[in-house]
Amino acid sequence: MVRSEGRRGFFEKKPGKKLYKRGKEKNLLDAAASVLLVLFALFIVSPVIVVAVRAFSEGTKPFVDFYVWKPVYLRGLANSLVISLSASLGTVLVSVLAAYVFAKVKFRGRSVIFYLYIIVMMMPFQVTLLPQYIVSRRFELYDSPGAMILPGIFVPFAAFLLTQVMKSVPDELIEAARLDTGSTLRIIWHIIVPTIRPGIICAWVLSFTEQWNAVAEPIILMETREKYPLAILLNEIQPGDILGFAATLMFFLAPLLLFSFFEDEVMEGLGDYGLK
Amino acid sequence: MKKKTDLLLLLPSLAGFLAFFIVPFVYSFYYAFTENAFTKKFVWFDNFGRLFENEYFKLAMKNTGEFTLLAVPLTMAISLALALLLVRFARRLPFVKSALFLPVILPSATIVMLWNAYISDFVPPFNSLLLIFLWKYGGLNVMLMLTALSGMDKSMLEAARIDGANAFQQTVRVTVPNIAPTLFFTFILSVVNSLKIFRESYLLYGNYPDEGVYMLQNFLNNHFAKLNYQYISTAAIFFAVIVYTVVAVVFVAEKKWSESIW
Repeated sequence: MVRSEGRRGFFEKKPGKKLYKRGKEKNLLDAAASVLLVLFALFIVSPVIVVAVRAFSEGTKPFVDFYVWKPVYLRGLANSLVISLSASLGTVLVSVLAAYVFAKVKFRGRSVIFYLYIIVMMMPFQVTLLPQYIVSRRFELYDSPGAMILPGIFVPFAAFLLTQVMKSVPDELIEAARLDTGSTLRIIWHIIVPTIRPGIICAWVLSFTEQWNAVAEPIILMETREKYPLAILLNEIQPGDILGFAATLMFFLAPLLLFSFFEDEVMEGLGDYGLK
Repeated sequence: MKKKTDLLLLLPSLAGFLAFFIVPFVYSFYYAFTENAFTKKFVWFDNFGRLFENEYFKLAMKNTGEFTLLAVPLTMAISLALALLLVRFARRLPFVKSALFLPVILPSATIVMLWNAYISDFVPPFNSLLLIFLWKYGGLNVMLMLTALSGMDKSMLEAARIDGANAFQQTVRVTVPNIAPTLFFTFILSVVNSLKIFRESYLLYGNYPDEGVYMLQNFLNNHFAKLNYQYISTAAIFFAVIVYTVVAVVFVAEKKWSESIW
Protein backbone atom coordinates (compact mmCIF):
# COMPACT_ATOMS: atom_id res chain seq x y z
CA MET A 1 0.00 0.00 0.00
CA VAL A 2 1.20 3.49 -0.73
CA ARG A 3 2.19 5.12 2.49
CA SER A 4 4.09 8.19 3.57
CA GLU A 5 6.80 8.23 6.20
CA GLY A 6 4.69 9.90 8.84
CA ARG A 7 1.97 7.29 8.68
CA ARG A 8 4.02 4.40 9.94
CA GLY A 9 2.30 2.43 12.69
CA PHE A 10 3.40 2.97 16.24
CA PHE A 11 4.87 -0.48 16.52
CA GLU A 12 6.93 -0.53 13.38
CA LYS A 13 10.55 -0.24 14.32
CA LYS A 14 12.26 2.78 12.88
CA PRO A 15 15.53 3.62 14.59
CA GLY A 16 16.90 7.12 14.57
CA LYS A 17 13.71 9.15 14.56
CA LYS A 18 11.94 9.48 17.85
CA LEU A 19 8.88 11.51 18.65
CA TYR A 20 10.34 12.98 21.79
CA LYS A 21 14.01 13.54 22.59
CA ARG A 22 15.13 11.24 25.31
CA GLY A 23 18.27 11.41 27.38
CA LYS A 24 20.01 8.69 29.33
CA GLU A 25 18.29 9.72 32.54
CA LYS A 26 15.02 8.74 30.92
CA ASN A 27 16.04 5.11 30.58
CA LEU A 28 14.53 4.31 33.95
CA LEU A 29 11.21 5.89 33.00
CA ASP A 30 11.42 4.06 29.73
CA ALA A 31 11.79 0.73 31.47
CA ALA A 32 9.00 1.53 33.93
CA ALA A 33 6.62 2.46 31.12
CA SER A 34 7.51 -0.70 29.24
CA VAL A 35 6.71 -2.77 32.31
CA LEU A 36 3.41 -0.93 32.65
CA LEU A 37 2.67 -1.63 29.02
CA VAL A 38 3.34 -5.34 29.44
CA LEU A 39 1.18 -5.47 32.58
CA PHE A 40 -1.61 -3.71 30.72
CA ALA A 41 -1.31 -6.22 27.89
CA LEU A 42 -1.37 -9.13 30.34
CA PHE A 43 -4.46 -7.68 32.00
CA ILE A 44 -6.18 -7.56 28.62
CA VAL A 45 -5.15 -11.08 27.65
CA SER A 46 -5.84 -12.68 31.04
CA PRO A 47 -9.43 -13.82 30.28
CA VAL A 48 -8.24 -15.97 27.41
CA ILE A 49 -5.51 -17.53 29.52
CA VAL A 50 -7.99 -18.37 32.29
CA VAL A 51 -10.47 -19.86 29.81
CA ALA A 52 -7.76 -22.01 28.21
CA VAL A 53 -6.47 -23.25 31.56
CA ARG A 54 -9.99 -24.11 32.74
CA ALA A 55 -10.90 -25.81 29.45
CA PHE A 56 -7.92 -28.16 29.65
CA SER A 57 -8.25 -28.76 33.40
CA GLU A 58 -10.01 -32.09 32.75
CA GLY A 59 -7.98 -33.14 29.76
CA THR A 60 -9.66 -33.50 26.40
CA LYS A 61 -13.03 -34.74 27.68
CA PRO A 62 -14.94 -31.44 27.22
CA PHE A 63 -13.59 -31.15 23.69
CA VAL A 64 -14.74 -34.66 22.84
CA ASP A 65 -18.13 -33.75 24.30
CA PHE A 66 -18.24 -30.63 22.17
CA TYR A 67 -17.36 -32.32 18.90
CA VAL A 68 -18.85 -35.78 19.32
CA TRP A 69 -21.58 -35.99 21.93
CA LYS A 70 -23.36 -32.67 21.62
CA PRO A 71 -24.17 -32.25 17.93
CA VAL A 72 -26.14 -29.08 18.65
CA TYR A 73 -22.89 -27.18 19.18
CA LEU A 74 -21.25 -28.52 16.10
CA ARG A 75 -24.29 -27.45 14.12
CA GLY A 76 -24.13 -24.06 15.79
CA LEU A 77 -20.51 -23.78 14.71
CA ALA A 78 -21.49 -24.67 11.15
CA ASN A 79 -24.29 -22.08 11.24
CA SER A 80 -21.86 -19.45 12.47
CA LEU A 81 -19.43 -20.30 9.69
CA VAL A 82 -22.07 -20.17 6.96
CA ILE A 83 -23.44 -16.83 8.15
CA SER A 84 -20.11 -15.14 8.83
CA LEU A 85 -18.32 -16.36 5.71
CA SER A 86 -21.16 -15.48 3.32
CA ALA A 87 -21.80 -12.07 4.85
CA SER A 88 -18.14 -11.06 5.10
CA LEU A 89 -17.13 -12.24 1.63
CA GLY A 90 -20.25 -10.67 0.16
CA THR A 91 -19.68 -7.35 1.83
CA VAL A 92 -16.07 -7.20 0.66
CA LEU A 93 -17.13 -7.96 -2.91
CA VAL A 94 -19.83 -5.29 -3.22
CA SER A 95 -17.82 -2.81 -1.15
CA VAL A 96 -14.66 -2.93 -3.27
CA LEU A 97 -16.76 -1.94 -6.29
CA ALA A 98 -18.60 0.76 -4.34
CA ALA A 99 -15.36 2.07 -2.84
CA TYR A 100 -13.87 2.48 -6.30
CA VAL A 101 -16.79 4.68 -7.29
CA PHE A 102 -16.72 6.67 -4.04
CA ALA A 103 -12.99 7.26 -4.20
CA LYS A 104 -12.25 7.56 -7.90
CA VAL A 105 -15.38 8.49 -9.88
CA LYS A 106 -16.72 11.99 -9.56
CA PHE A 107 -20.47 12.41 -9.92
CA ARG A 108 -23.21 14.59 -8.53
CA GLY A 109 -24.54 13.43 -5.19
CA ARG A 110 -21.45 11.38 -4.39
CA SER A 111 -20.76 13.02 -1.07
CA VAL A 112 -24.44 12.91 -0.08
CA ILE A 113 -24.58 9.15 -0.62
CA PHE A 114 -21.27 8.66 1.15
CA TYR A 115 -22.49 10.68 4.14
CA LEU A 116 -25.59 8.48 4.25
CA TYR A 117 -23.29 5.46 4.52
CA ILE A 118 -21.39 7.11 7.37
CA ILE A 119 -24.58 8.06 9.21
CA VAL A 120 -25.95 4.54 9.01
CA MET A 121 -22.55 3.18 10.03
CA MET A 122 -22.65 5.23 13.21
CA MET A 123 -26.26 4.34 13.87
CA PRO A 124 -26.63 2.19 16.97
CA PHE A 125 -27.94 -1.26 16.09
CA GLN A 126 -30.88 -0.61 18.41
CA VAL A 127 -32.14 1.68 15.66
CA THR A 128 -31.42 -0.53 12.64
CA LEU A 129 -32.75 -3.72 14.15
CA LEU A 130 -36.45 -3.00 13.61
CA PRO A 131 -35.88 -2.01 9.95
CA GLN A 132 -33.94 -5.25 9.49
CA TYR A 133 -36.73 -7.20 11.12
CA ILE A 134 -39.35 -5.59 8.87
CA VAL A 135 -37.31 -6.38 5.76
CA SER A 136 -36.65 -9.96 6.79
CA ARG A 137 -40.41 -10.46 7.22
CA ARG A 138 -41.22 -8.74 3.93
CA PHE A 139 -38.62 -10.71 1.91
CA GLU A 140 -39.50 -13.92 3.77
CA LEU A 141 -35.99 -14.24 5.10
CA TYR A 142 -37.10 -14.45 8.72
CA ASP A 143 -35.70 -17.42 10.61
CA SER A 144 -33.30 -18.33 7.78
CA PRO A 145 -29.55 -17.67 7.53
CA GLY A 146 -30.37 -15.11 4.85
CA ALA A 147 -31.96 -12.89 7.49
CA MET A 148 -28.46 -12.41 8.89
CA ILE A 149 -26.43 -12.70 5.69
CA LEU A 150 -28.18 -10.22 3.41
CA PRO A 151 -28.23 -7.22 5.77
CA GLY A 152 -24.70 -8.25 6.79
CA ILE A 153 -23.52 -7.85 3.20
CA PHE A 154 -24.82 -4.29 3.01
CA VAL A 155 -23.58 -3.00 6.35
CA PRO A 156 -21.79 0.20 5.29
CA PHE A 157 -18.64 -0.43 7.32
CA ALA A 158 -16.59 -2.21 4.64
CA ALA A 159 -17.55 0.31 1.94
CA PHE A 160 -16.45 3.14 4.21
CA LEU A 161 -13.15 1.55 5.19
CA LEU A 162 -12.29 0.54 1.62
CA THR A 163 -13.12 4.01 0.33
CA GLN A 164 -10.61 5.47 2.79
CA VAL A 165 -8.04 2.91 1.64
CA MET A 166 -8.85 3.41 -2.04
CA LYS A 167 -8.10 7.13 -1.77
CA SER A 168 -4.43 6.26 -1.23
CA VAL A 169 -4.21 4.58 -4.65
CA PRO A 170 -2.57 7.14 -6.99
CA ASP A 171 -4.74 8.27 -9.89
CA GLU A 172 -1.73 7.93 -12.24
CA LEU A 173 -1.68 4.19 -11.60
CA ILE A 174 -5.28 3.87 -12.76
CA GLU A 175 -4.77 6.20 -15.73
CA ALA A 176 -1.76 4.17 -16.84
CA ALA A 177 -3.75 0.94 -16.61
CA ARG A 178 -6.51 2.63 -18.60
CA LEU A 179 -4.12 2.72 -21.59
CA ASP A 180 -3.93 -1.08 -21.56
CA THR A 181 -7.55 -1.96 -21.04
CA GLY A 182 -10.89 -0.24 -21.24
CA SER A 183 -12.49 -2.48 -18.68
CA THR A 184 -12.74 -0.94 -15.23
CA LEU A 185 -13.44 -4.34 -13.70
CA ARG A 186 -10.11 -5.62 -15.04
CA ILE A 187 -8.32 -2.59 -13.65
CA ILE A 188 -9.90 -3.14 -10.25
CA TRP A 189 -9.07 -6.82 -10.26
CA HIS A 190 -5.52 -6.66 -11.66
CA ILE A 191 -4.25 -3.30 -10.41
CA ILE A 192 -6.29 -2.00 -7.49
CA VAL A 193 -7.06 -5.17 -5.55
CA PRO A 194 -3.39 -6.20 -5.28
CA THR A 195 -2.46 -2.64 -4.26
CA ILE A 196 -4.98 -2.37 -1.45
CA ARG A 197 -4.80 -6.02 -0.38
CA PRO A 198 -4.18 -5.19 3.32
CA GLY A 199 -7.25 -2.96 3.43
CA ILE A 200 -9.40 -5.63 1.79
CA ILE A 201 -8.22 -8.28 4.21
CA CYS A 202 -8.78 -5.92 7.13
CA ALA A 203 -12.36 -5.25 6.00
CA TRP A 204 -12.95 -8.97 5.55
CA VAL A 205 -11.54 -10.01 8.93
CA LEU A 206 -13.41 -7.30 10.83
CA SER A 207 -16.70 -8.00 9.03
CA PHE A 208 -16.30 -11.72 9.69
CA THR A 209 -15.66 -11.12 13.39
CA GLU A 210 -18.59 -8.75 13.67
CA GLN A 211 -20.97 -11.36 12.25
CA TRP A 212 -19.35 -14.17 14.21
CA ASN A 213 -19.92 -12.40 17.51
CA ALA A 214 -23.38 -11.01 16.76
CA VAL A 215 -25.89 -11.66 19.53
CA ALA A 216 -28.76 -9.19 19.27
CA GLU A 217 -29.43 -9.84 15.58
CA PRO A 218 -29.91 -13.64 15.73
CA ILE A 219 -32.22 -13.33 18.73
CA ILE A 220 -34.50 -11.00 16.79
CA LEU A 221 -34.18 -12.43 13.29
CA MET A 222 -34.31 -16.15 14.06
CA GLU A 223 -36.32 -18.40 16.32
CA THR A 224 -35.45 -22.02 15.51
CA ARG A 225 -32.80 -23.30 17.87
CA GLU A 226 -31.23 -25.51 15.19
CA LYS A 227 -30.51 -22.43 13.08
CA TYR A 228 -28.89 -20.37 15.82
CA PRO A 229 -25.23 -19.48 15.51
CA LEU A 230 -22.95 -20.76 18.24
CA ALA A 231 -22.74 -17.34 19.92
CA ILE A 232 -26.30 -17.76 21.22
CA LEU A 233 -25.96 -21.43 22.16
CA LEU A 234 -22.85 -20.86 24.28
CA ASN A 235 -24.95 -18.87 26.66
CA GLU A 236 -27.19 -21.85 27.44
CA ILE A 237 -24.32 -23.77 29.02
CA GLN A 238 -24.38 -23.66 32.83
CA PRO A 239 -21.89 -21.20 34.30
CA GLY A 240 -18.84 -23.04 35.57
CA ASP A 241 -19.41 -26.10 33.36
CA ILE A 242 -16.07 -27.12 31.85
CA LEU A 243 -17.85 -27.82 28.56
CA GLY A 244 -18.58 -24.11 28.38
CA PHE A 245 -14.91 -23.20 28.59
CA ALA A 246 -13.98 -25.73 25.94
CA ALA A 247 -16.82 -24.58 23.68
CA THR A 248 -15.99 -20.90 24.00
CA LEU A 249 -12.35 -21.68 23.29
CA MET A 250 -13.37 -23.50 20.11
CA PHE A 251 -15.66 -20.63 19.23
CA PHE A 252 -12.83 -18.15 19.65
CA LEU A 253 -10.55 -20.22 17.45
CA ALA A 254 -11.89 -18.92 14.13
CA PRO A 255 -11.40 -15.18 14.76
CA LEU A 256 -8.12 -15.88 16.54
CA LEU A 257 -6.71 -17.84 13.60
CA LEU A 258 -7.89 -15.22 11.14
CA PHE A 259 -6.43 -12.44 13.17
CA SER A 260 -3.06 -14.08 13.89
CA PHE A 261 -2.70 -14.92 10.24
CA PHE A 262 -3.61 -11.44 8.98
CA GLU A 263 -2.47 -9.32 11.90
CA ASP A 264 -0.28 -6.94 9.89
CA GLU A 265 -2.98 -6.35 7.30
CA VAL A 266 -5.62 -5.64 9.95
CA MET A 267 -3.37 -3.17 11.74
CA GLU A 268 -2.48 -1.39 8.54
CA GLY A 269 -6.10 -1.20 7.45
CA LEU A 270 -7.14 0.12 10.84
CA GLY A 271 -4.61 2.91 10.49
CA ASP A 272 -6.66 4.16 7.53
CA TYR A 273 -9.89 3.65 9.44
CA GLY A 274 -8.89 6.29 11.97
CA LEU A 275 -7.93 8.81 9.31
CA LYS A 276 -11.27 10.34 8.55
CA MET B 1 -11.22 7.35 -15.05
CA LYS B 2 -14.19 9.07 -16.64
CA LYS B 3 -16.55 6.38 -17.74
CA LYS B 4 -20.28 6.62 -17.34
CA THR B 5 -20.66 2.87 -16.88
CA ASP B 6 -18.32 2.96 -13.88
CA LEU B 7 -21.21 4.31 -11.86
CA LEU B 8 -22.90 0.94 -12.25
CA LEU B 9 -20.29 -0.52 -9.92
CA LEU B 10 -21.90 1.34 -7.05
CA LEU B 11 -25.26 -0.22 -7.83
CA PRO B 12 -25.05 -3.56 -5.96
CA SER B 13 -23.90 -1.92 -2.76
CA LEU B 14 -26.28 0.99 -3.01
CA ALA B 15 -29.33 -1.14 -3.87
CA GLY B 16 -28.79 -3.39 -0.85
CA PHE B 17 -28.01 -0.43 1.35
CA LEU B 18 -31.27 1.24 0.37
CA ALA B 19 -33.32 -1.96 0.63
CA PHE B 20 -31.98 -3.09 4.00
CA PHE B 21 -31.29 0.17 5.79
CA ILE B 22 -32.74 3.32 4.27
CA VAL B 23 -36.18 2.24 3.01
CA PRO B 24 -37.00 0.26 6.18
CA PHE B 25 -35.84 3.19 8.24
CA VAL B 26 -38.26 5.46 6.40
CA TYR B 27 -40.90 2.85 7.17
CA SER B 28 -40.20 3.10 10.85
CA PHE B 29 -40.94 6.83 10.65
CA TYR B 30 -44.27 5.89 9.15
CA TYR B 31 -44.94 3.52 12.04
CA ALA B 32 -43.88 6.07 14.61
CA PHE B 33 -46.49 8.55 13.44
CA THR B 34 -49.46 6.25 12.85
CA GLU B 35 -51.88 4.84 15.36
CA ASN B 36 -51.53 1.15 14.53
CA ALA B 37 -51.12 -1.26 11.63
CA PHE B 38 -54.89 -1.55 11.10
CA THR B 39 -56.28 1.97 11.26
CA LYS B 40 -53.14 3.56 9.77
CA LYS B 41 -54.32 6.84 11.22
CA PHE B 42 -51.79 9.66 11.34
CA VAL B 43 -51.47 10.68 14.98
CA TRP B 44 -48.62 13.22 15.03
CA PHE B 45 -46.60 12.85 18.20
CA ASP B 46 -49.07 10.78 20.22
CA ASN B 47 -46.79 7.73 20.17
CA PHE B 48 -43.95 9.79 21.57
CA GLY B 49 -46.21 11.09 24.33
CA ARG B 50 -47.28 7.58 25.24
CA LEU B 51 -43.71 6.39 25.18
CA PHE B 52 -42.47 9.12 27.52
CA GLU B 53 -45.11 8.09 30.04
CA ASN B 54 -43.95 4.50 30.01
CA GLU B 55 -42.05 3.74 33.22
CA TYR B 56 -39.88 1.06 31.62
CA PHE B 57 -38.89 3.30 28.75
CA LYS B 58 -37.84 6.00 31.20
CA LEU B 59 -35.86 3.49 33.18
CA ALA B 60 -34.21 2.14 30.03
CA MET B 61 -33.28 5.63 28.79
CA LYS B 62 -31.93 6.60 32.17
CA ASN B 63 -29.76 3.49 32.43
CA THR B 64 -28.53 3.65 28.86
CA GLY B 65 -27.74 7.36 29.25
CA GLU B 66 -25.98 6.90 32.56
CA PHE B 67 -23.91 4.10 31.17
CA THR B 68 -22.78 6.03 28.10
CA LEU B 69 -22.16 9.24 30.04
CA LEU B 70 -19.95 7.39 32.47
CA ALA B 71 -18.28 4.85 30.19
CA VAL B 72 -17.26 7.11 27.30
CA PRO B 73 -15.43 9.86 29.25
CA LEU B 74 -13.78 7.19 31.40
CA THR B 75 -12.45 5.20 28.47
CA MET B 76 -11.35 8.37 26.67
CA ALA B 77 -9.42 9.64 29.70
CA ILE B 78 -7.77 6.34 30.53
CA SER B 79 -6.90 5.54 26.91
CA LEU B 80 -5.46 8.99 26.24
CA ALA B 81 -3.37 8.93 29.40
CA LEU B 82 -2.02 5.51 28.53
CA ALA B 83 -1.36 6.41 24.91
CA LEU B 84 0.51 9.60 25.87
CA LEU B 85 2.58 7.69 28.38
CA LEU B 86 3.31 4.86 26.00
CA VAL B 87 4.27 6.92 22.98
CA ARG B 88 6.74 8.82 25.08
CA PHE B 89 8.45 6.10 27.00
CA ALA B 90 7.61 2.56 26.08
CA ARG B 91 9.57 0.37 23.73
CA ARG B 92 7.81 -1.04 20.71
CA LEU B 93 6.73 -4.45 21.84
CA PRO B 94 4.95 -6.54 19.21
CA PHE B 95 3.28 -8.72 21.84
CA VAL B 96 1.47 -5.68 23.17
CA LYS B 97 0.12 -4.80 19.76
CA SER B 98 -1.67 -8.14 19.49
CA ALA B 99 -2.89 -7.91 23.07
CA LEU B 100 -4.50 -4.49 22.65
CA PHE B 101 -6.64 -5.74 19.83
CA LEU B 102 -7.61 -9.08 21.33
CA PRO B 103 -10.80 -8.05 23.20
CA VAL B 104 -12.30 -6.69 20.00
CA ILE B 105 -12.16 -10.11 18.34
CA LEU B 106 -12.84 -12.08 21.50
CA PRO B 107 -16.48 -13.24 21.49
CA SER B 108 -18.67 -11.65 24.12
CA ALA B 109 -19.66 -15.15 25.22
CA THR B 110 -16.11 -15.86 26.39
CA ILE B 111 -15.77 -12.94 28.74
CA VAL B 112 -19.33 -13.47 29.95
CA MET B 113 -18.59 -17.07 30.81
CA LEU B 114 -15.61 -16.04 32.89
CA TRP B 115 -17.55 -13.26 34.51
CA ASN B 116 -20.31 -15.67 35.49
CA ALA B 117 -17.87 -18.19 36.86
CA TYR B 118 -15.65 -15.91 38.91
CA ILE B 119 -16.69 -12.31 39.18
CA SER B 120 -20.43 -11.64 38.92
CA ASP B 121 -21.04 -12.73 42.52
CA PHE B 122 -18.84 -9.92 43.79
CA VAL B 123 -19.45 -7.06 41.37
CA PRO B 124 -22.91 -5.48 40.87
CA PRO B 125 -24.33 -5.57 37.32
CA PHE B 126 -23.80 -1.93 36.38
CA ASN B 127 -20.16 -1.94 37.44
CA SER B 128 -19.67 -5.29 35.72
CA LEU B 129 -20.81 -3.86 32.41
CA LEU B 130 -18.64 -0.79 32.93
CA LEU B 131 -15.52 -2.87 33.64
CA ILE B 132 -16.18 -5.13 30.68
CA PHE B 133 -16.62 -2.09 28.45
CA LEU B 134 -13.34 -0.55 29.59
CA TRP B 135 -11.53 -3.83 29.12
CA LYS B 136 -13.07 -4.52 25.74
CA TYR B 137 -12.55 -1.23 23.93
CA GLY B 138 -9.76 0.40 25.92
CA GLY B 139 -7.07 -1.39 23.97
CA LEU B 140 -8.56 -0.42 20.61
CA ASN B 141 -8.78 3.22 21.67
CA VAL B 142 -5.18 3.21 22.88
CA MET B 143 -4.11 1.71 19.58
CA LEU B 144 -5.94 4.28 17.45
CA MET B 145 -4.52 7.11 19.54
CA LEU B 146 -1.01 5.68 19.39
CA THR B 147 -1.21 5.44 15.62
CA ALA B 148 -2.17 9.11 15.45
CA LEU B 149 0.45 10.17 17.98
CA SER B 150 3.31 8.44 16.23
CA GLY B 151 2.16 9.84 12.88
CA MET B 152 2.23 13.46 13.97
CA ASP B 153 4.70 16.05 12.75
CA LYS B 154 7.69 16.02 15.08
CA SER B 155 8.99 19.47 14.17
CA MET B 156 6.13 21.17 16.04
CA LEU B 157 7.11 19.52 19.28
CA GLU B 158 10.70 20.48 18.61
CA ALA B 159 9.67 24.10 18.09
CA ALA B 160 7.61 24.12 21.29
CA ARG B 161 10.55 22.67 23.18
CA ILE B 162 12.92 25.31 21.87
CA ASP B 163 10.41 27.99 22.86
CA GLY B 164 10.70 26.68 26.39
CA ALA B 165 7.53 24.61 26.75
CA ASN B 166 7.81 21.90 29.35
CA ALA B 167 6.58 18.35 28.83
CA PHE B 168 3.11 19.12 30.19
CA GLN B 169 2.69 22.21 28.00
CA GLN B 170 3.97 20.31 24.98
CA THR B 171 1.35 17.64 25.59
CA VAL B 172 -1.64 19.90 26.26
CA ARG B 173 -0.89 22.63 23.74
CA VAL B 174 0.67 20.71 20.88
CA THR B 175 0.14 16.98 21.04
CA VAL B 176 -3.52 16.77 22.05
CA PRO B 177 -4.82 19.44 19.61
CA ASN B 178 -2.79 17.73 16.91
CA ILE B 179 -4.63 14.47 17.24
CA ALA B 180 -8.04 16.12 17.71
CA PRO B 181 -9.54 14.42 14.63
CA THR B 182 -8.53 11.01 15.95
CA LEU B 183 -9.87 11.89 19.40
CA PHE B 184 -13.14 12.88 17.80
CA PHE B 185 -13.24 9.65 15.86
CA THR B 186 -12.40 7.59 18.95
CA PHE B 187 -15.11 9.40 20.87
CA ILE B 188 -17.80 8.59 18.31
CA LEU B 189 -16.59 5.01 18.13
CA SER B 190 -16.76 4.77 21.92
CA VAL B 191 -20.31 6.14 22.01
CA VAL B 192 -21.46 3.59 19.45
CA ASN B 193 -19.56 0.82 21.24
CA SER B 194 -21.00 1.81 24.61
CA LEU B 195 -24.44 1.16 23.15
CA LYS B 196 -23.24 -2.27 22.04
CA ILE B 197 -22.74 -3.30 25.65
CA PHE B 198 -26.13 -4.93 25.30
CA ARG B 199 -24.37 -8.01 23.97
CA GLU B 200 -22.68 -8.58 27.28
CA SER B 201 -25.70 -7.40 29.21
CA TYR B 202 -28.01 -9.85 27.46
CA LEU B 203 -25.61 -12.76 27.83
CA LEU B 204 -25.05 -12.00 31.51
CA TYR B 205 -28.53 -11.07 32.64
CA GLY B 206 -31.01 -12.06 29.90
CA ASN B 207 -34.10 -10.15 28.79
CA TYR B 208 -35.32 -9.19 32.24
CA PRO B 209 -32.24 -8.01 34.08
CA ASP B 210 -31.71 -6.17 37.33
CA GLU B 211 -33.36 -2.72 37.33
CA GLY B 212 -29.98 -0.99 37.29
CA VAL B 213 -29.03 -2.43 33.90
CA TYR B 214 -32.39 -2.51 32.16
CA MET B 215 -31.16 -0.94 28.92
CA LEU B 216 -32.97 0.40 25.89
CA GLN B 217 -32.30 -2.79 24.00
CA ASN B 218 -34.09 -4.79 26.70
CA PHE B 219 -37.09 -2.52 26.28
CA LEU B 220 -37.03 -2.92 22.50
CA ASN B 221 -36.54 -6.70 22.72
CA ASN B 222 -39.49 -7.12 25.02
CA HIS B 223 -41.66 -5.15 22.64
CA PHE B 224 -40.45 -7.18 19.69
CA ALA B 225 -42.02 -10.14 21.42
CA LYS B 226 -45.34 -8.27 21.35
CA LEU B 227 -44.76 -7.11 17.76
CA ASN B 228 -45.48 -3.56 18.84
CA TYR B 229 -44.03 -1.76 15.79
CA GLN B 230 -45.30 1.65 16.86
CA TYR B 231 -43.54 1.51 20.16
CA ILE B 232 -40.26 0.15 18.82
CA SER B 233 -40.15 2.62 15.92
CA THR B 234 -40.91 5.56 18.17
CA ALA B 235 -38.26 4.53 20.68
CA ALA B 236 -35.70 3.85 17.95
CA ILE B 237 -36.28 7.22 16.28
CA PHE B 238 -36.13 9.09 19.55
CA PHE B 239 -32.93 7.27 20.36
CA ALA B 240 -31.42 8.05 16.94
CA VAL B 241 -32.24 11.74 17.41
CA ILE B 242 -30.36 11.78 20.72
CA VAL B 243 -27.33 9.95 19.37
CA TYR B 244 -27.01 12.18 16.31
CA THR B 245 -27.48 15.31 18.39
CA VAL B 246 -24.55 14.24 20.54
CA VAL B 247 -22.48 13.43 17.47
CA ALA B 248 -23.34 16.76 15.84
CA VAL B 249 -22.52 18.75 18.98
CA VAL B 250 -19.17 17.04 19.34
CA PHE B 251 -18.47 17.48 15.64
CA VAL B 252 -19.10 21.23 15.81
CA ALA B 253 -17.15 21.53 19.05
CA GLU B 254 -14.20 19.73 17.50
CA LYS B 255 -14.27 22.04 14.46
CA LYS B 256 -14.46 25.16 16.65
CA TRP B 257 -11.74 23.89 18.91
CA SER B 258 -9.22 23.05 16.20
CA GLU B 259 -9.96 26.37 14.47
CA SER B 260 -9.38 28.35 17.66
CA ILE B 261 -5.98 26.72 17.99
CA TRP B 262 -4.62 27.56 14.58
